[in-house]
Amino acid sequence: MVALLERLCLLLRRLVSGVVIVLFAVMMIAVLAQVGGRYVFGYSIAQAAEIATFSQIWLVLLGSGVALARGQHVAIDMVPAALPRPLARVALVAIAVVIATFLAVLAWGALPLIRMGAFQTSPALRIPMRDVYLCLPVGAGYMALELILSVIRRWDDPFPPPEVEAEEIA
Amino acid sequence: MTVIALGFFGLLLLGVPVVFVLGASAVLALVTTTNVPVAIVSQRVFAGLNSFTLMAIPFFVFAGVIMDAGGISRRIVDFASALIGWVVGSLYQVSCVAAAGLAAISGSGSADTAAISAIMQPQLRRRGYDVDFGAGLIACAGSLAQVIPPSLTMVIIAVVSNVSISALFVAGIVPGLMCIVMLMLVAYFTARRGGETYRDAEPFTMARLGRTAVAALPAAGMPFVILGGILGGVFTPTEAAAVAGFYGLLVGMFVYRDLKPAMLPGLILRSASIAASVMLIIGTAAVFSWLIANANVPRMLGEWITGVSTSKLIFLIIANVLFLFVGMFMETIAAILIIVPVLAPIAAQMGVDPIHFSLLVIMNCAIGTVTPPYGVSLFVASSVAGRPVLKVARKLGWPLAGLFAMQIAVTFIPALSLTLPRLFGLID
Repeated sequence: MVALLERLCLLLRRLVSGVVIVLFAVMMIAVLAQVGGRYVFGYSIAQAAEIATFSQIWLVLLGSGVALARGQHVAIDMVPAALPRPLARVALVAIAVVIATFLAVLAWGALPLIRMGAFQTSPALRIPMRDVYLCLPVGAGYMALELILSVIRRWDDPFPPPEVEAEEIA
Repeated sequence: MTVIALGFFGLLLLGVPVVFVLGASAVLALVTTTNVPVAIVSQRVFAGLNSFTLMAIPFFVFAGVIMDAGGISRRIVDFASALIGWVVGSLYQVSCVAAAGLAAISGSGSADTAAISAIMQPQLRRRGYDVDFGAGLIACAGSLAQVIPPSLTMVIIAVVSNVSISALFVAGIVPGLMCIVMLMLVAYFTARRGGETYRDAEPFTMARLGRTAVAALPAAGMPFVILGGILGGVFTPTEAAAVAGFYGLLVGMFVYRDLKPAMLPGLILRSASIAASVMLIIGTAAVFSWLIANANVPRMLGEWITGVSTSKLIFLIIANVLFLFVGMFMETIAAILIIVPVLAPIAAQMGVDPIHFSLLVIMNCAIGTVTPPYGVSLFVASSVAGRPVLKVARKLGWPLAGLFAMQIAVTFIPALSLTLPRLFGLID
């Protein structure tokens, strides 16, 4: 059962990772096209900034789920790492509950935005803002899924010593 | 207020990731202390991410990742080694100079520290250098990537306190380079006391310098693209960051040929997930700082500080100590987003130049990433060196003393940070 769930989740992670890579590429190409358009072709592409910004918002919400899977969100786990395993497991679950609560609030709070967004269109692209606001519940949902999976994965060794890659943020 | 503070530190100690500590304690405070619907959380997170200016962050992260994978870091270390490898304590000196070179390309202190450590640590070990001191020194030098432009931290602080990113970038050049020189001096005197090991330096030859300079030349184009483009008014900082990433991509793929197209998806995903974790912090910290502003903390703190003294210098000292303390315990970006909106208006009211103030905050943040208990650069440098954090931290004394001296100098001599941006006409 768990194995099947993990297989499905791996498939989903691949898909999300692919979408994140495409969003990043679109964001970069849009900004480069904006520069190129201005200097090389002498006209500005009005939609470029909006395409890039919307890609960024989706990228961050989906990418945060990928970062969660890679253990890339910085935490100070000196205290729980020093606990004996049964207590460390309690801490692991408590942390997951805190995160899940926040994600639930994030998703739930987005509902009024999405309802309102059905009647709003973006200034340059003329797409309904609902499609942009949707990133909040979708991203929160994916993060929650990765969260559950990470608790299962870390059950036997809840707080492994940090690896370099995990620390690498600004 | 007490609810926010208790929730915050409790969750932090429990080991909840910083980004969710900010979010969850904000939710807790909203529910217990205000009548504001929690839906504001989603609005604030969205508003925090809906920014073209902050897009400089993912692009600068990408430029840093590409710089390392594309062989740019290695060429810069080679050049630094030809340039300064003949001085006593050569490997320490090379680390410092290479860190400055990478800092001019990358905007992230920990990425810089990781890149230098990966190349220098094996050499330090092989030649019998003090690995712990080396790791501490590299952590300090690498953290200065936040002070030497371009810098992610500067982009964030500029957005928060509404100052010009270009002016802040230029203001960081002189103090950043001074810090590097200071670290080189510290390394020199430490190495001189260290005995024969540190004297086996490589001879200086013009031929080697020339050869490595030619190899490093395409990489050296990146800082010119970034700074020149921004200062010349060719690009906005966001566009410059995108162009820098693209330029690094071209250099890595077609000049150095270390970068293969098949590596790209992995590198992009890596950049995206690093950038996402940074930017989600911006989103959740935005909720948190809205709460603090709502609880009237800025006004209360302002009244307290003006009650203590109306002297500009006293204020700067208080601000420095506060930031240093917070930087020791907290994640840099979260610290900026929470504290800068509180202190910046007071600084302005006291007549402190906003660029000068922002730069002091940045320097404190850089020092904060090296100081235990919580210092990302220190963690990265220790872990690449394969040494316990506490052993490395014990050797940090002199390098940190050097950085503190510079911090004091930049605090009391505003000209150090403000002269260059004035010269370029970015501020008056």
